[in-house]
Amino acid sequence: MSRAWMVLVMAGCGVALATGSAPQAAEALLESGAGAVKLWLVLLGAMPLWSGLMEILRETGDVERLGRCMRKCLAFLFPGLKDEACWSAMGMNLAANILGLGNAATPAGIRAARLLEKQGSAGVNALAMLLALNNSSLQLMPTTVITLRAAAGAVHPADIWPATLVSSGVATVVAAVLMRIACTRRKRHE
Amino acid sequence: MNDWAGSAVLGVVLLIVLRGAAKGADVYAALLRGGRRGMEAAMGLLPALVGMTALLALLSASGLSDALSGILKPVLGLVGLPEEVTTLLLLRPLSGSASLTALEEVFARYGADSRAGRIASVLMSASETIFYTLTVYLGATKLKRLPWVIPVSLASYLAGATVCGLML
Repeated sequence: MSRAWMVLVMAGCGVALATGSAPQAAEALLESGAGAVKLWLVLLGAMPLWSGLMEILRETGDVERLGRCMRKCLAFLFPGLKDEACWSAMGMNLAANILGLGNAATPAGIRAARLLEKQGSAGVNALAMLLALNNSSLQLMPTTVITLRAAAGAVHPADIWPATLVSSGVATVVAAVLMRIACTRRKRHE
Repeated sequence: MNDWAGSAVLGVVLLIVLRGAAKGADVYAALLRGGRRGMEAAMGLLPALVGMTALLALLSASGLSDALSGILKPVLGLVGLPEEVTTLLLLRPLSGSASLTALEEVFARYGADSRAGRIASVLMSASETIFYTLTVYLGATKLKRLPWVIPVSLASYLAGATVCGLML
């Protein structure tokens, strides 16, 4: 992203100077900070609330329970993986991920990545699958976006919820199927 | 229209608090503990949000983002997405702050309840910062690369986006 930012800023400045829209562009640039702070304030109010509510679920052990349930359901996606520590970190990562708990998902994912690395080719395949599932991110509760919609004056801010479930659900299935095919083909080549 | 999804948000909150009560947890203490972590995460976001808002303001004032949307319009049309969400669609896999800013821009220009606003909302919440996630996880290991993660993730992102364009 650093390089993209650099290139895009250069392109934006260059085009604005060349087309004579430089004064308007400068004005927009200088005024943009206030918009960033407004967006930040909404996030600053929303993130503690939801991360606090999710902490309650962690305290009751429900996040862990969801993780155990997910590893049972998803075992077929990670063939040849026996290591208990790997499974426990992966379960935690997946559960935290679908609940939108970035704070808990990333450390568990990193722990899983380090453990999987030591498991040979089954581990590397499992890590690739884990990342594909993380990236397609089945999202149970799109709280941040609902809050931003409410702040932007949407009449029913939460009405994108069902569409989010379907869209991220389809993305997750596509990711799992494609990655499964890729891993099976790689095994045949080896 | 009956806003059942709005009620569902309240239902989730009630469910969480009920679970806490059933397990005898100190619900409010947990709320504050988790809240502090959420606040710390949110506090650090401002510099990135400022950087990305500045970039998007520049791109939009110089006419670059509209030109890009114009060029990509036929491609987006193929998957049923309006050109208004081009910037968000392109930035979403790269950066969380950039895509939040792009989402806000769509809300500000077209309204949160417009088709573009609704599609942008779903695009945002039903996807991840693919490249960033890969960098973080690979950085934690000694692996140089993980085959197939980027193409598979991008394909699943496009599949989710297509479904979103079809539904809304």
